[in-house]
Amino acid sequence: MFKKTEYMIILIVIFSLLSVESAYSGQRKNFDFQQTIISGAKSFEEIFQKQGEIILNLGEELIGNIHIIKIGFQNQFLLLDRRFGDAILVDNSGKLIKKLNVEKDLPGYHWHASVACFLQEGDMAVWCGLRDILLFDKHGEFKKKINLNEMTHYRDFTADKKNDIFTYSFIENKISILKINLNGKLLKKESIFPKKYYSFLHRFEEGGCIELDNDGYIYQTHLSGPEIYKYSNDLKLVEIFNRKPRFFKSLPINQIQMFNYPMENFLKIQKIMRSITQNLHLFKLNDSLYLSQYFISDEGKFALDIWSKTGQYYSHDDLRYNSQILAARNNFIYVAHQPEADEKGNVPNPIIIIYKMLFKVDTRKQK
Amino acid sequence: MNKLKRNFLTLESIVIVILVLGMIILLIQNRLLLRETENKNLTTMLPNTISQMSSYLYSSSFLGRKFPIIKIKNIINNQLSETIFSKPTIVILISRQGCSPCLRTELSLLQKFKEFYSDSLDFDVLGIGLEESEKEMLILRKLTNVTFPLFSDEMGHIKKWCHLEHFPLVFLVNESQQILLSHYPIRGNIEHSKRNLNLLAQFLSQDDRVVSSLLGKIK
Repeated sequence: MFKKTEYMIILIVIFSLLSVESAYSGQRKNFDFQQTIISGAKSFEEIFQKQGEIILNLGEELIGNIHIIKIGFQNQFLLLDRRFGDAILVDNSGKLIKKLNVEKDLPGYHWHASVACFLQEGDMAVWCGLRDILLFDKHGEFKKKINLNEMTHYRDFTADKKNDIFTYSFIENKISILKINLNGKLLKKESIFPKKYYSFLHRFEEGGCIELDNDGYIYQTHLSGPEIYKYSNDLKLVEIFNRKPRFFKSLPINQIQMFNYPMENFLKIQKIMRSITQNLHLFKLNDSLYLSQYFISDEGKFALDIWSKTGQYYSHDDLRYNSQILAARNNFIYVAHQPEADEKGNVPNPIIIIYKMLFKVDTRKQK
Repeated sequence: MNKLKRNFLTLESIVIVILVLGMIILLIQNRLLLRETENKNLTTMLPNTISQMSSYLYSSSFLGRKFPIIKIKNIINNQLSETIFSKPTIVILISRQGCSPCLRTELSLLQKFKEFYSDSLDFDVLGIGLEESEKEMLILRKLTNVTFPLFSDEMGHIKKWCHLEHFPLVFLVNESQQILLSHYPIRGNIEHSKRNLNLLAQFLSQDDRVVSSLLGKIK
């Protein structure tokens, strides 16, 4: 029979085999958990499957375009038409809760909702281009006006669990990420953006987004670059994810020459915008995955990157689609569709189409 | 001769002093106005008077010019027509460039204007989209409830003609294609638009004595 040392060797071999197997299965589980998707996908439908529609029932209220949808913690939807400054709160069936405005509470206020976010209790913070944030309750009723320290143009709002608002803007000749509390106090300001972006703040376009994760990290994108900036909750830069998709046409730095006359700048920016790829949106797909949405100007189509909190990308550079994603949550994405006008030229309200992310994985193709 | 020279110098210095004082007063006034408008939008930071002057100065460059005869397409029935007007016509030029909230307000005001004066005055109103897609024009129509026809200038002739930067632009064009009045709205200043529509009503009524205060009539 075996000697004692041989028993030991056999036991060691068995244990090591077991540990290798468990590690491998763990890795497999990990791949499943990562919901790795896209690598092999060449069409939108291979990643997202249509689940249903939300037909907006707005009564007498009208909405033109939906540029962005903010989803509340109680599944309310805040629809923003940035062009005409409308903000409409609907429930998850599309029924109107309230069209936000401050006509009665702040007569003469120059209402033009362009940036908004949900707070923890279902309240909403809305910015109308002025030096204050307007707070609304979950029913869309105006609560109060918060004065801000800085008079500037804010890009996107996201609130953390303490209801501190993260945004970014152009302050003191720098593009900065900001943390503001609900008293309007600027808690922290950080600017790590490359100087090449300083003279090119996009006041009129989309883009420039901020998202949070469950650990309190903040992710930020800028319209004219593919980079993703990851910050800690106190705005210390943690990491930059820098994957440049093949199709990405960056900002031609040497062509940027801003003028003193704002309208001239506006026209110039419009022209430049038509020649570059725009990093339009940043959405949190689920607790581990995020989605960056690009607009390829010369093709007139959208493209996307799906990436994890650790900077692992699951993308396919050849994937294109026509309908812009406007929101994402819990593996669902939301796209607005504008039905055609009738013979008399009457245009119905847009429909929100819901897609669910599929979990088709081709892990072998992942790098 | 010397006396004359001295007088001239004193006169010159007085003029300079008046100019300097004027500038100081203007600066103080601007400061005060800026302080007042501190909480207003970035685009309305400029004192309203300056914005209005800019609006009048810019739009006045069109006065007396002939409105171009071009082919335009009705966005609803796709019928082509020409910009030849058989009666005084108010034309609003619509574009994505420029101020969208102003555009919405201006279209709504023009609709009210049309409804208010359609019985008493003989005129047409139409909108021409320069860089707007037909879809966007239809959405605009929905949001503003306009009933007057909207057209698109697909060939981009008007844009080339006017080299515009400010939108929307409103013209009053007579039967001989001549531009009699023009203005562009100022963001957040609805009174400016109403004043201009009031002026339009006066021109259309062809009676300078009629001062129909639109400010009171259109709400």
